[in-house]
Amino acid sequence: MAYFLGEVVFTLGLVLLLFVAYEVIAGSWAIDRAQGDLNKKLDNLWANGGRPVAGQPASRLYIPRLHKKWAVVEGVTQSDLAKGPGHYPKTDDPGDLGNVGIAGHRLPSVFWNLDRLRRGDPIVVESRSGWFVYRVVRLRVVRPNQVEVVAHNPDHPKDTSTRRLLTLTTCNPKFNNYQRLVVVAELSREQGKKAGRPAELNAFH
Amino acid sequence: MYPWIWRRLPGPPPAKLIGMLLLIAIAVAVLWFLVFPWAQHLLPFDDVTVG
Repeated sequence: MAYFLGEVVFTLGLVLLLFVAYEVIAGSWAIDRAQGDLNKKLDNLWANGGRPVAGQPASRLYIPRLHKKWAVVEGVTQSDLAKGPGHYPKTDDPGDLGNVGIAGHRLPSVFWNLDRLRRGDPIVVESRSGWFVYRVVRLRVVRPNQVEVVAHNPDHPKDTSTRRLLTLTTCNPKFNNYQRLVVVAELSREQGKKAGRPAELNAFH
Repeated sequence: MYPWIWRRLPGPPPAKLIGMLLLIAIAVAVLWFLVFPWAQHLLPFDDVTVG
């Protein structure tokens, strides 16, 4: 009997390990597949103009330090975030005064190594109208209910903002969800689409 | 459980080993493609937003 119980517990342990592998690998594969479609769709949407639509790609995000780029979906529901990073719908648009909020999974194909960003690292957002080069100001770990991090003015949530911020959120620590890792960046410069890709992306493949 | 399955698998030990690996592959496939996709959304590990 004890032997049988041991076998059951051992088997459950293996199943849990497999589930962890599934969470990381299958989630990453699904996002890599979805990103291909989103990028094509985004080019079409930009060609046709109009406001970002929930569930559709709205912009592109580049993080040279992590060698990563994504099409960002408008919205942060589970089905939005299963395709890539998502833009909090009530937060500001790239380049605008205030705060652009973007959430992403702590998966190898998304924000896995977000904690490796350092102060001053560029984070580039490409919108329909231009390129916006933000630079990391600070990294924070907060509780999941601290919604003020994506407020229009995170330091004084009741006031209007005089800064142009970008805030990335993901879960922290890896494989868990009782905290949020938050990266705050501030706009350092912008350029039009006609000027081509910003120099910050030169080393980017 | 495992000795019980091993005894019931047919053939000499090499064939039993292949049978065992096949059973493991089936179990992994059922978990990966059916059970985990269903269980994933019941668990809170994919929360990444604030609010």
